[in-house]
Amino acid sequence: MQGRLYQHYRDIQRYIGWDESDEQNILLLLPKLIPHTPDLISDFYNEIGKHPNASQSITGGEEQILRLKKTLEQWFRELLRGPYNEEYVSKRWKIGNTHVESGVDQIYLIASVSRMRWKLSEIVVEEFGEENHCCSRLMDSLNKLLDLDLAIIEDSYQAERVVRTQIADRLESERSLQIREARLAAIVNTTVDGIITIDEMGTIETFNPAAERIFGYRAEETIGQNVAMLMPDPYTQEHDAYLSSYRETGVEKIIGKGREVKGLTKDGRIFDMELSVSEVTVDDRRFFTGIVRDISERKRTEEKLLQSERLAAIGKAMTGLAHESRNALQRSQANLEMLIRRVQHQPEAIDLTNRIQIAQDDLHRLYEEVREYASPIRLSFQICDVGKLIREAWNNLSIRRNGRVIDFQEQEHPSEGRRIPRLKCQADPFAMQRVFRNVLENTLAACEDPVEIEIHYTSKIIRNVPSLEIRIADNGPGFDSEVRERIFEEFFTTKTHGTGLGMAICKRYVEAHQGTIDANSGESGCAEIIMTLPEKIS
Amino acid sequence: MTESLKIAVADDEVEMRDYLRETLSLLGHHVICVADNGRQLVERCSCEQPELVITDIKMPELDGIDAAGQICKDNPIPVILISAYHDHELLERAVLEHVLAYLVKPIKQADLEIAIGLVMRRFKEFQALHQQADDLRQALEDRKQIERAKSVLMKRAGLDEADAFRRLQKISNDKNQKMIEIARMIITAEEAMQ
Repeated sequence: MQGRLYQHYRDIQRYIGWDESDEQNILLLLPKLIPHTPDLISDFYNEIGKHPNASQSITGGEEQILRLKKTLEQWFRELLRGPYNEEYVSKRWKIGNTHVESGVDQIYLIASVSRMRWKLSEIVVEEFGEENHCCSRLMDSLNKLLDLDLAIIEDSYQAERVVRTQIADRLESERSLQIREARLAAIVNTTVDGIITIDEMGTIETFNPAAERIFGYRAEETIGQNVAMLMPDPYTQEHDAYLSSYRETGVEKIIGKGREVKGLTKDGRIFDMELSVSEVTVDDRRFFTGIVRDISERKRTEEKLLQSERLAAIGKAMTGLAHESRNALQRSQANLEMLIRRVQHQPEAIDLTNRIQIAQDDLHRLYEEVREYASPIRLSFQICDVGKLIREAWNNLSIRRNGRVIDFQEQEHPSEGRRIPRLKCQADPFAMQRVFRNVLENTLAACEDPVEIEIHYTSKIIRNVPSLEIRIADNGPGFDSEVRERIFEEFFTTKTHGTGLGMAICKRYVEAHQGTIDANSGESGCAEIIMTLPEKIS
Repeated sequence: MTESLKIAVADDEVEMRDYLRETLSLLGHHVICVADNGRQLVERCSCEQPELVITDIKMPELDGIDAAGQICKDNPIPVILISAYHDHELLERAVLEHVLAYLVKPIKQADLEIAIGLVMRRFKEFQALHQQADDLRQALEDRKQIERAKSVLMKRAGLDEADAFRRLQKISNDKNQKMIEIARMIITAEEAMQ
């Protein structure tokens, strides 16, 4: 620093033409000026006192001023005496720096040197006489000396400005680093994706809150552990091998690509997750960041979609099949009837043909049920008496009821604002009759004699819509919880016969009427099918 | 026992043709034609004059609905369709061609028996209604002619309306011809005079 500073000083000396004659002039001035020192100093501080901006750094009162006066006195003596060597320059620079540190505005320093210059020139004129030709030369030398001092002070101010800028820059970059870190932390802490970093040995270094949620571990339970703890077999074993193979060969298996893998939660549940891994090298240390997303829900949806696509395809095939089956069944029926005519005098053969007929009718019904379920619903709504529809459905079951002991009753219940329920609903009579027939058919199949069937009607307001609730209760064994949950599923059946579509068709029809259908176990454990139908289709 | 009908049938499947022939005969009808496609059915019907057509829909060459349309174009006869299909489009086409019954396969003898009975009854009712409508239309037309003849008589013979009508009646009685015929003659004569 000093080296540079002194060189700088010398350079300026040369620039302003400071030479030995100037030093001699100063030596000439020295004895004349020193006696004026006290006056100069008191003038200096008097003037500072008048300018609050200049004196604001003087906070120590008279005591400080006294001290400062001594410093100034010394500064003045050294100014005149020299020697103007490296030590001198260094000392002057420190004085400048003291001013910088105590916050004196540079402009007041320049101003005070200027005032000093003016006072000194007065003294010089006074001592040597204005006409004296050497007077101006002496003054020139004195001015050069003062300018050189100002140059040193300026340097210290400049140095301070550089430092200040550097500090400001560093603060600024620290601040933006902090902001970036905070932002990153916020992202890492709030993202729904699990973010896990591991070192190249597979040891977990960070574990974000989403990862905690996904895997069920708290971060502190995982940090320092091998990441294999988050994987089910066989990944657990294979992961270390992956890592070491990657360390040795650099062949990437997963890095940079996302892929679906299995994850293992703390409670031992294996789930589908999407994992993408990226590699980061910091100070020659290699890290891997894994981003984990729990996709079990998506997987389930995909599977459901696949299932429903499969069902749709089956449905389409079945519709075609059911249609084509009619032709085949017709041929069979035609031949069967002709056969019956030819064997009508052979009782044994007639018995067999009758059985064929029954089997064929069953087959026909099954095909029709599948076709009905698979084909689009076409409903035409009209105002129907639901009670009448149920009784018609019941009458149509007369063949099935043959020989059974059955008590069939209907009850109308009062409800809020209605003494008797309103049985008239907007419905497709054929579809709803089909629904009631299916439900009643199931009831007959499930119950042993004597069967008791009760139909309860109640008017209700459901989601602001005036509706009719129809409860069909029997005295059968009721539904167990699995049946209750799955009864409306396609191909679910408890009977040994049937397609398992009957109740699914019911649900489809009822929902097409904007109604609901549920299976329940009634008070005495018996079965109850509860339907609601809106009075009007919206 | 229903009356014996002359019936034309068509189906592209041999079992159905055999079955319909045998079953309809058993029901006392006379199967006058058994076709295996629509075109054959139309050709045979144009010379055989059946009283009822029973046909499958989906057949080669010409389908049952189009065949029914062609058969009934000039001389309407009742048609029963029997099909494995019953989609909306087919039903609409069937309605347009005045088909009276539509049976969905597989059918049994009883289905046929009931359908034939119903269809023939309905067809006769339709025919009666058509006849009635024709008669009414004719009566209305005749009345217009008689009115014109009356006005000719009123103008030429200077008669009032009642006398003109009586004159017409008298001529009809004297000549032993229908009043409408006398009216036509008068109108023709009037046209000749002008």
